[in-house]
Amino acid sequence: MSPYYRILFILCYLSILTATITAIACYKRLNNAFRVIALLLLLTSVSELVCFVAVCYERYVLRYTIYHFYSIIQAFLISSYFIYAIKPLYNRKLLLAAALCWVTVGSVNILFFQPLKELNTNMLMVESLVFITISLYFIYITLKNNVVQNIFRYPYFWMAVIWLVTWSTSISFWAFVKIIYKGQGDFIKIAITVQAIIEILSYLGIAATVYLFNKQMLNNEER
Amino acid sequence: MKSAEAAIIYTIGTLAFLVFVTFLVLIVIEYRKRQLRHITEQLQLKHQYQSELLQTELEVQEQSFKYLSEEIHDNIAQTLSLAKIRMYKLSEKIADSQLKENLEISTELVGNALNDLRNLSHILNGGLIAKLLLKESIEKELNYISDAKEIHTQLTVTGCVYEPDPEKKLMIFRIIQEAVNNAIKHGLANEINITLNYQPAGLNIKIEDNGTGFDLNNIENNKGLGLHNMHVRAKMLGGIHIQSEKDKGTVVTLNVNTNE
Repeated sequence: MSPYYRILFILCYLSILTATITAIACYKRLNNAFRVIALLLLLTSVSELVCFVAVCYERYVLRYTIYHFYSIIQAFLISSYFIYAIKPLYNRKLLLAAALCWVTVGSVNILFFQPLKELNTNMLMVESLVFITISLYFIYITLKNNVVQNIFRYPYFWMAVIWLVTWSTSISFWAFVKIIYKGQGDFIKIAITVQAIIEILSYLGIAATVYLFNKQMLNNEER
Repeated sequence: MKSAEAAIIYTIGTLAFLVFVTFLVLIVIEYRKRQLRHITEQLQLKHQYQSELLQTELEVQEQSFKYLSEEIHDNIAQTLSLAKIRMYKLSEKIADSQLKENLEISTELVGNALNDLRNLSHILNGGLIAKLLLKESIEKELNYISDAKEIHTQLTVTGCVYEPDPEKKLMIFRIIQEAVNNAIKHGLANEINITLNYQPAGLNIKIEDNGTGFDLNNIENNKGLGLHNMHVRAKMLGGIHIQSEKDKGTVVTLNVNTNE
């Protein structure tokens, strides 16, 4: 790994750590949906650190294996976040369905398309498509909902925007990642830098949303 | 496809997505602002409509009171007055002392009824109340009650006295009248104290009685017409607070914004 990419990774990781520490510090005053985000951030920070160490020791298969399992859990946790945000009560069946669904998608990808020694781009693209759709749907229902008085202070809205930015920009990255990583040069450097900047901004956005989260901003059922 | 081409497509695609999301967020925020403005306007219109409806309701009621007052004054009171004069003249011509005494008592009773009716007529007449000072109208009402029903009443005035505008004065008087009537009719009170506290920001009125009181929870769900009118009027004036407990009397506090 070149020093430039190492610095880029460290910056990305610092943003993940910032978001994780903020979420853990604010955990008590968060509602169920945002506690799921806290859990996801904790998992991300651990898995990214392990992956970084694996890359340093050139254990690429271990890194890809971690990504495969991490993606399944990540997809389930983000789905849970949206389930809690859209339907705060009586959602056990939906959570179970989401878990089953993502385990099936992940397993099918590992067994038939991308084994553990390969990067799971298919799974990541499916995730991107699903979460872009859900984020847009969430923004739509927020607009329809007259209970939300001030959208600027509505944490779910900003989370939906963050997910939309993250997943809509990463979908093309996952589509071209294998080709991009094969080459070298300025364009590739720019592409990876853009992806890193978006990730850093997304995690800092999550940190800010979690830090400014206030249950008073939600309606009764959502609390 | 070469790596460099893929990187260019990715970078341009990412930037395009970012622009799209930014526009989407801006559109959402603008739409939401308009939606909120629309809801606020609708609420204001609804509030205005309700206020006008209440005003009309109260005007109709005042008209009915005025009609009743005029009927009592011009018709019933005149007839009774005539009857009283005839009875008086008749008593002068009668020689039988027992019959004469009975007729004199009857004349006095008719006279009392006439006085009561005149007082009632004045109290019902909004125009007359508006002409009098608020303190005078309340005193008149309390005197009428004390005379007619043997109830001890007291009016206390504190602060620097000023007169609310006639419309407000009439509404204040009607609220006090309703509270006093409730105290006598439902609370069976024999003592009523009214305090007018004039403050620069508004007028605070307290109507206390020693009646049987009532359970506020039962009343809130099933307000009678009188209590309903009282709340409607008070809402237009400022606010009202009723404190009551079974067998511990009732305190009605009315706050009037006189600056508006």
